[in-house]
Amino acid sequence: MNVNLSIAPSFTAIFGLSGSGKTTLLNLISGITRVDAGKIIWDGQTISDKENKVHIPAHKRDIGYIFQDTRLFPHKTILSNLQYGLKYTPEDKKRFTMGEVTEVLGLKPFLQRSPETLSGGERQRVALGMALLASPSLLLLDEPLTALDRKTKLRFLSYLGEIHKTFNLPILYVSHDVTAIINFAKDAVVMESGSVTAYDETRNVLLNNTKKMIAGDVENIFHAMVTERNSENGLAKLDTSKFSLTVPDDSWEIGTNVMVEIPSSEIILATRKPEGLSARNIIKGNITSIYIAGKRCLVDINIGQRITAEILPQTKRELGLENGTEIYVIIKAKCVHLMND
Amino acid sequence: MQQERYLKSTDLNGHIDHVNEWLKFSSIEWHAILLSIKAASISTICSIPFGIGISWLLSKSRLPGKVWIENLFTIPLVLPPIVTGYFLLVLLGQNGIIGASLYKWFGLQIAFTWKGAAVASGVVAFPLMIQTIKVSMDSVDPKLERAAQLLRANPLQVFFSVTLPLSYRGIIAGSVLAFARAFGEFGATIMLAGNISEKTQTIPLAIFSLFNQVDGEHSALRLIIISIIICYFSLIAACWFGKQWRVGKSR
Repeated sequence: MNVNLSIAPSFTAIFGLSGSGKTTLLNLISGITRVDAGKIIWDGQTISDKENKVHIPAHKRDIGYIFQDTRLFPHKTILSNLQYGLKYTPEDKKRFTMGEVTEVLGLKPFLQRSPETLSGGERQRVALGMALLASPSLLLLDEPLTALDRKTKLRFLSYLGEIHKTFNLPILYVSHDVTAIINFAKDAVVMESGSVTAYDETRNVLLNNTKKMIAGDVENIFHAMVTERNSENGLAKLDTSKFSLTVPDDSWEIGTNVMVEIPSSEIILATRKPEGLSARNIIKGNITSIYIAGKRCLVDINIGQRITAEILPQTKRELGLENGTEIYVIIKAKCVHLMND
Repeated sequence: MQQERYLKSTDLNGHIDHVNEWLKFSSIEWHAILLSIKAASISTICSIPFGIGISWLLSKSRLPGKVWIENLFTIPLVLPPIVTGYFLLVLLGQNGIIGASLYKWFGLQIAFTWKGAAVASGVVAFPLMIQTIKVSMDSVDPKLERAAQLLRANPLQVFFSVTLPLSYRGIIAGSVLAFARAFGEFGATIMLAGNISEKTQTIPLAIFSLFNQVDGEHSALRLIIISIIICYFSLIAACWFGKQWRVGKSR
């Protein structure tokens, strides 16, 4: 493994085929594995340096790690699992309280239960809670490959995104699902057979490495609430705090929180307000950034929050799209996928 | 009717008398029973911390030459106990390599005292304890220990909070096995502690001696039954401890 990389402390995803060294990289950073050569510096401190024989042991590194196989202590209740890291954290380093973490992660109902009674997604959240309560200054995550279904994974990611924002905690996330992570990770690293081949903003990385990635479509993911149901025309209205969407009514109760998924390739852009259109959702916004590579073009639009549309570079030129261009985002009601939040 | 009842109660009284008589142990028997319990208990209790420590070294540490250490502690398991006893006598006898200094500095005499019985039975039983505890520590997932380390626990804290509680079954099983083995120890004990009745004579030694006496068979049988009862209850106690521990933890 040969990596030469300095990463800005943000939410960074690590992509790569299996065997490319993603997990090894995390193990080296966490201190589980010793470096054979070279050095690792985190937050100005050398934590591994072969030449000068520096190896700060894992428990003194201030680094949290959530493993691919979520590791909870089977002989402890969820509460004492959560207290584990907290107990060994020095007072002056504590950044999170038990109340905060159990609230944000929705762990309150499980506290007295034992780990074997929890589902995969719940275990994942407990593992995140355990890591947070040890107040790390960097969080490493190795995404479970198959253990979690897509919905659970997305929900977990949105928890993670929230935590990253709320607590300003840098995250390094090994991901196998490019389309989901793009909503959360600002930057991305691509690894191939032990080396880093790309490090850039996630959108650029995705566009420039389309062939290497397993899936290429960008998914937009929002939280919303069902606010209206019309039994006559069979439509329902969803509200995020920034905009609303009309979708086919699928017997969701009013007041239900849902996760909305919209594929970027199914979004249509228009420079003028269209009329006589069959699409149900027309939202006005402004272009914030445009990413072009080869035959692909991603456009980020601010409609109160960011939404990404994929168009052809040709279209971008013909419409004369630039940063700041006022634009109408058109979404067919049928293209909005809902999941229980 | 009355008479019948009377007869029955005398029958019962007769039985009670019988039991009472059966339970009247001779002084030699009492000493053997108490010494056996004392020697096996003390040797087991004193072995537990070492058993846990050495098992941890063998199972979890990156110590070079672990196989050699393991073999060293397994030798008493395969050696004839008499031979183990001989070596113990060479080491701990009053003129022995360690025994002489112990006597000189602390006035401590091990050979031919009850302490000798405890040491001999402990040494012979130790490999069983280590093997059992080591197997259970091997089965504690190192991934969990690593996870604990990444939650800021230092190696000692990892040991006490993860490794030890997750291998408690092996520790209990190993201790019970060691107790039972120590309780039945014969060869090494007779070499190091001798077979002095009312002083260093444990149950197995007493049974052996009684069988060689003209009218000792009855006494010997009693001791045989007693030893079965003690071993059976030590098994039950182990199960009970195991359960208590689990209930206490899951709370």
